[in-house]
Formats: sequence, structure tokens, C-alpha cells
Amino acid sequence: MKTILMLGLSLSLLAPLSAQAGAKEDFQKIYSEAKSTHDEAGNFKWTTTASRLSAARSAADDGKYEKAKELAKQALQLAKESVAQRKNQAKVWQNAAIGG
Amino acid sequence: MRKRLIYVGLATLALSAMSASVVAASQADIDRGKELAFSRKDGNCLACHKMDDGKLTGTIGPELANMKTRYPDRNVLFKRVWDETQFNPQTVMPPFGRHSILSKEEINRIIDYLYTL
Amino acid sequence: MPRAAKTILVIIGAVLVIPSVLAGVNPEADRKAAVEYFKQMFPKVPLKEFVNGQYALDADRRAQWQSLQDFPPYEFAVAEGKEMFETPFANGKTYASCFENGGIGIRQNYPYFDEDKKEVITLELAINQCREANGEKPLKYKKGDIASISAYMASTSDGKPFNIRIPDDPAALAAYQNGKKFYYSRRGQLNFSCASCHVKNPGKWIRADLLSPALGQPSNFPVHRSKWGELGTLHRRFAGCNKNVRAKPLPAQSTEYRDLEYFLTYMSNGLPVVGPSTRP
Repeated sequence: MKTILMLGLSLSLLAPLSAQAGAKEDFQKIYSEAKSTHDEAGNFKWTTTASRLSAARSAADDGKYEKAKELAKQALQLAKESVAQRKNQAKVWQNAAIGG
Repeated sequence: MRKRLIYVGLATLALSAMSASVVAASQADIDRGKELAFSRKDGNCLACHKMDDGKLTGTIGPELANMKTRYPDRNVLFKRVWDETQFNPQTVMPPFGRHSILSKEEINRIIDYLYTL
Repeated sequence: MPRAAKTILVIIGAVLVIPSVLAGVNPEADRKAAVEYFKQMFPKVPLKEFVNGQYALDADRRAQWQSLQDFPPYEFAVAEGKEMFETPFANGKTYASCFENGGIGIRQNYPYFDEDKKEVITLELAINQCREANGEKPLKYKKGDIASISAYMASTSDGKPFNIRIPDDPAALAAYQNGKKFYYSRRGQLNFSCASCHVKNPGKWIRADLLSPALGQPSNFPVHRSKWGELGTLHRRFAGCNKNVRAKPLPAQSTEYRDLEYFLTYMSNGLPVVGPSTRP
């Protein structure tokens, strides 16, 4: 019982350190994908994507990579939705137009 | 193998749907839902819907009342808040879930609240 | 070769020259359909009244608005605009040298399509081009001096009907269509197009704001909004609407916004210039 507790305790102490090391690379990868997806949205970019991207950037500048990674993930999700919107609207916008 | 996975998936779906409808919403859930529904940066439902004691409500959408009668199936109401364009392509209601305006959890709280109307 | 066959070949040739996206683009048919659409939606509103936006649709709002018209808040800006318009540049020339009829009573012809440059020229763009041609620095596009000068120029066209022309040039038609596409495309996280509010829901309330119809929409610009506490240009308003739906606004006088203005103003052909005006 004691050993398990000790093991658990040391693992939980180690985890944040290794996570932090991987988080920086994870962040960079996700952030650059989010940024290029955001650019792909062209003139359909969302302000919310832009603000998540800059929040992610400034968290990373402060060395908070876990937080930065999380924000970059959110930015990527929003950017993907904006690209989907752009593609979808190219097909359906005329359905709503007076005169077609 | 694949079949089994599908069964597991279906069972999980059924369970999650059940947990949503069977577990009664607490007063805290309902209060949180109202807060999200009224807040301008979250649901901002009042922009278009007359509801409850909301002031300066818009007239674009229908009044939100008798929700239990109108939506006996909670999943249907959830889907309409998630993405109304799936039901009505010309709607102006934002696809709250699909566009990540609200999280799944937030939509569920709003629905807890809507069922009190 | 029989004559009929020749004619058919010529027609096919002509069709091939026009890019396929422009097939069926008919601005005048669009405009007539829009007039019909809004007439049916608001049968009691006289056509020319649409330039007053929400005030054409709600008697209470109109009464409040009219009571403000004795001392309009843009009066000083228009006077300043007139002074700037008449003050010579460093080289001795004035704005009048750049415009038809010395820039007086011409607002209703803007924006127009420049067939040499193959682009839409708005009044504000023309003002800055005039400055640059005379060695002056361009003004910022959303507010301030440019809004005052544009407001003065609009005031000299008060009541003149909009007369936007789309020359027989595929590039002009493409600019119109691009603007129309912008107007009807849903944007932003909230998934609204311009039309979501101003075609589908004019006359309805979004919170405490009454939505105006697309028809007549650009006619009252530049506009003094109480929200701004000053005059602003049409492109400032475009940017504000985009931001409201959480879409990243485009730069004022970008090609997209100029094409949008071209489409939107064309829809208002025949309606009077009433800018500058006031809005909440």
C-alpha cells in the first residue's frame, strides 16, 4: 500500500515536468496549424479565432505552454469552422439572394 | 470487432442521452443556464427571443415559453440549439454548438433553464 | 454556311468570352426584384422613404428622430467639410479640380466603375486620389476629415436620385456580383450575412435596435451615429457590422468593401441622396 502511494506521488510530481517539455513542441505544432488554417479562411476570418491565437501566443511568451497549447487548440477548432463556412457559403449564398 | 465497437458506441450514446434527461437539473444548473442565456457574450438569447423576465427583447425569433410541451424530446431541443441551420437553412439563429459559441455543457445548462419556461 | 448557323456560332462565341460565373448575372433584374420584395414586405411605406431606414418603419422612432432634425449633430462637420473642400492644396489647386462639375451635386454617381483601372471608385477613394494627385497625404478612411468632406459633398446632392451605372464590361459585372456575394454570404462565428438582418428581418428588433431594409441603406451616409458621437463613413459601418457577427472586418476601401458598396448602392438606384443623416 505504502509503495503504491509513494509511486503515485512521485509520478504525479514528475508528470508536470515532462508534460511541460512536450507542451512547447505541441503548442508550436498546433499553433502553426491554427494560423495557417485561419489564413485559409481568407475574407471569412473570425475575430474569435484571431483573439484565441494572440492569447495563445502571449501565454507561450510567458512560458505557460500548457495554457498556450489549449488556446491554440481552440483557435484551430474555430479556424476549421471558419474555413468550412467559407466553402459552404461559396455553394449556398445564392439560395438566400433576391434575384438568385 | 467492428460490430462490437458500434454496440459499445451506441450504448454509450444511449447512456449519455439518458443521463441528460433522467438526472433532474439542480437549481444551480438552472440558474447557470439563465445566466448563460441572458449574457450578451454567451447565449444572448434575448437579442431575438422574448422570454421570462428579460428586458428589451428582440422580435426575430419566437417567444420561448411552454418549452416542455413544444420540445418533449430533449435531444431535439439540444440539436436545434446546437445547429438550427440543419432544420432550417435560412434561419438567422447562430449554430451555437457547431460554431463553438457555447460548449456542450453550456447548452445543456441553457436547456435545463429553458425547460422551466 | 446558312445564316442561322452563323448567328448561332457568333452567339456561342460571345457566351464563351463571358466567364461562366457571370452567366445569368442581371443587376437590373435584381434591383427590380428587390424593390418588389420590400414593397410587399412594407406595403404602406412609399418607395422613397426606404432611404430613412428604420425611421420609415416605426412611427415612434421617426417622431424621436424628427425632433432632432432642427439642430442636426453633423452640422458643424459639414461646415468644416465645406471649408476643407474649398481650401486650396499647397499647389494652389482645390478638390473641385478633380471632379465633374467641380464636385458639386455629384454624390449620386458614386461609386462608379472605372473601365481603365478595372475597379470600383467610391467617393472617399476619389477624394484621396485627388489629394495624392495634388501632392497631399491621403486621409484615414473611416472618420474625421474624410467623413466631413464626403458629408459636405453629399449635402450638395441632397434629393438627387442615385444613378449607379454598370458599364458593359465583364469586369464591372464581376465587381457587382462580388459585392452581391459578399452581401449574401454568412460570415463570422455568429453566422450572419448582411442579408440575414437587412433582407430577411428588416422592421424587426434585435434587442433594442430596429433593423433597416437593404433598400436605401447606403443613401444616408456618411452618418452621425449617437453610438459613435461623430460622423462615420459607410465602410466604417461595414466593419462594425462584420465585428458584431464576430467576422474579422476588412480594411476600409478594400476591393471587397468597394464591390459591396457598388452592389448595395446599385440596389438603391432611383432613391434620393439624403446623407449626411443621423442614426442611433
